[in-house]
Amino acid sequence: MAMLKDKENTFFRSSEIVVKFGGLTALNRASISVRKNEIKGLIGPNGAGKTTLFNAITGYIPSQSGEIVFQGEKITGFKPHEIAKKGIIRTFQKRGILPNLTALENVMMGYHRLMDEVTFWHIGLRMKKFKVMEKEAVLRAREVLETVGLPEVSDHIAKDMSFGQQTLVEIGRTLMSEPKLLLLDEPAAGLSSLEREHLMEVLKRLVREHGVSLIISDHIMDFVMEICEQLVVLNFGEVLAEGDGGYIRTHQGVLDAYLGGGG
Amino acid sequence: MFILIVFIILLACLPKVTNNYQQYMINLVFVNFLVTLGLGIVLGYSGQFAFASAGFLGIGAYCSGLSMVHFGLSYWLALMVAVLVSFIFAVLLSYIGLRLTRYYLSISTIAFTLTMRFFYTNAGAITFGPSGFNVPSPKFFGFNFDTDQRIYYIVLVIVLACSLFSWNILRSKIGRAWVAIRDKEEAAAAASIDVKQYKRLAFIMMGLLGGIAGGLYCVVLGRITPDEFGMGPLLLHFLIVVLGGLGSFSGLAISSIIVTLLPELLRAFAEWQEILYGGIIILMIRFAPEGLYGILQKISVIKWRERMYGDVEG
Repeated sequence: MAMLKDKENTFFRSSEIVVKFGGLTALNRASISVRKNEIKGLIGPNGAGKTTLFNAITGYIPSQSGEIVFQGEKITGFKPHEIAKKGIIRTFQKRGILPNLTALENVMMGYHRLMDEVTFWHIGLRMKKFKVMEKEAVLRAREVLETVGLPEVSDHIAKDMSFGQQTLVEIGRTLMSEPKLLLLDEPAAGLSSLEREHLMEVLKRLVREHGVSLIISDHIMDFVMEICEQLVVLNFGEVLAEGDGGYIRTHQGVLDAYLGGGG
Repeated sequence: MFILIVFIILLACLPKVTNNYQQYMINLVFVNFLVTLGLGIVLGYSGQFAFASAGFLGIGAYCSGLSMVHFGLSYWLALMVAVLVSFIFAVLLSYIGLRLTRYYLSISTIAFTLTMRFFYTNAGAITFGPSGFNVPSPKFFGFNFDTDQRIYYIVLVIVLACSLFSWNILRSKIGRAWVAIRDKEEAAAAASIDVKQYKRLAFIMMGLLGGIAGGLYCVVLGRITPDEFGMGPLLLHFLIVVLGGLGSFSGLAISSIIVTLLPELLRAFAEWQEILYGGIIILMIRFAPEGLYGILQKISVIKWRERMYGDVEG
C-alpha cells in the first residue's frame, strides 16, 4: 500500500533542472511534477524557458544538474528515443509532423513504440506477425484520426493541411503510441477557437478514459487555465509560482511578469 | 497480386525471345536495379548522402569471383561469402557514416569506393590487377549456367526475392522510420525511433543489396576488371536513382532500363557519356527532383499511387 502511494506521488518528477547555453542560464533549478491522471499547466511569457524545460525532460538538450524520475525510475541523461519508449511522448512547438506523409501515415508513426516484437526478418519475409501488426496499426490509426476529428483527411499529405489540422495529426500520433505522460508544447497556438474547443475535449477524454497525464505548455492563459487544475509559472528560467488557477490569477509576481511590470 | 504473377511469368519467358546480347543487357538492367535499390534507400529514404554503391558492388563481385577462382568454391557458396563480406564492410562503414553528415559523408564514401578500386588495381597477386579475371560459370547439380539466358534465371530469382524483401521493409515501420529521420529527425526520436540504429540499418541495406548485386554482376559480365567499380559506375548509379525519383520503386525500375540501355542508343557519343550523365543529373535535380515517377504522375500518363499505406483496407 505504501509502495503504491509512493508510486503515485512520484509518477513524474523533474527537480532542480539547470540548463546553461554558454553563459546564459536558460533554466535555473526549475522543477515540475505530475501525478497520475493530472493535467498540469506550464505557463510563462515568451522566452521563459518552457520549451527548454520540455527539451531537457525529453533528452533533447543536456541538463547541467537536476534529476528526472518517471514511475520510480531515474531517467536523467536518457536519449530522446529511450524516454519516448518509456511512455513520455512530446509534441513540438513548430509541429513535429512529417510533411511528405499522409495524415494516416503520420499517425501510424506513433505505433513504433509498440511494435518492438516485429523484427527486420518478420517484415522482410512478410511473416504473419508483421502483417497482423501492420494491419492493426492501420486500423488503430483510423480510429485515432476519428478521435481527433480528422477522419476525412486521412489520405491528405500533411504539408498541405492547415496548422490546426497538423496540430491534431501530431496529437493523434502521440495517442497512437499510448503515452503515459504527454508533454504538449503550445498545442493551442494557431488554432481557431472551434479547433481549440475540440482539442480541449480530446485532451480531457484522454485523461479520463486512457489515464494519461499531461503537461501543457502555453502562453495562452485562458486555454491553460480552463483545462489544468494545477499550474507552474516559469519566468527567466525559474519557477515563479505554483498552484491552482485562482492562486495564479491573483499572484502579484505572475501579474508583473505577464504585464511586464515589476522587473 | 494477379498482375504481379503475370508480370513474373512474362519476365520468366523473356529468354525465349532474346538473342545473347539483348539478354546480356537485360541482365545488366536487373543488376543495376538491385544495386541502385540500395543506394535509393540510403539517399531517398534515410536521407544520408552515402555514395558507396559501386564500392559494395565491387566487394560483392570480387569476393564471389575470387573465392570461386582461388578457393574453387561453388558459385552459391561464393555468393554467401560475398554477402557476408559486404555485410561486415557495411557494418564497419555504417559507424563512420553515423559520425559524418552531408558533404563529409559523401566525400568519405566516395573515397571508400575509390580506395576499393585502387585495391583491385594494385593488389595484383589477389585480384589479378587492372586486366581482371574470368569468372567461371555457375553450376547447379550438373546444370551449367553458361549462357546469358541461363544466367538470367539466377539473376531474376535473386533480384525478385531481394526486391520483394526490400519492398516489405520500405512499407513497414522501418520505411516509416527512415522517412521520419530524413524529414524530421527530432520528431522521429519523439516517436521512440532510435535514429542511429535506423541510419545504420539503411547503410547496411545498401551494403547487402550492393554485395548481392555484385555477386550477380560477376557472372553476368563473365569477366571483371577494376574499372567496373570506379567513379563512372558510381555516377551511373546516382543517375539511375535521381532519374527514377529518390526512393520510388517503379521510378527506379524505369530509370534502370533507360540508363542501362542509354549507352547503346548513344553509342556515337561514347566519349561524351559521363558529361551527359552529369548534365542529366543536374537538370533532373533542378527541374524534376521527383524524378520520372514524379513527371509521370504530373502529366498523368499513369495514375498509380505509390504511397506506403494507401492500399491497406480496413
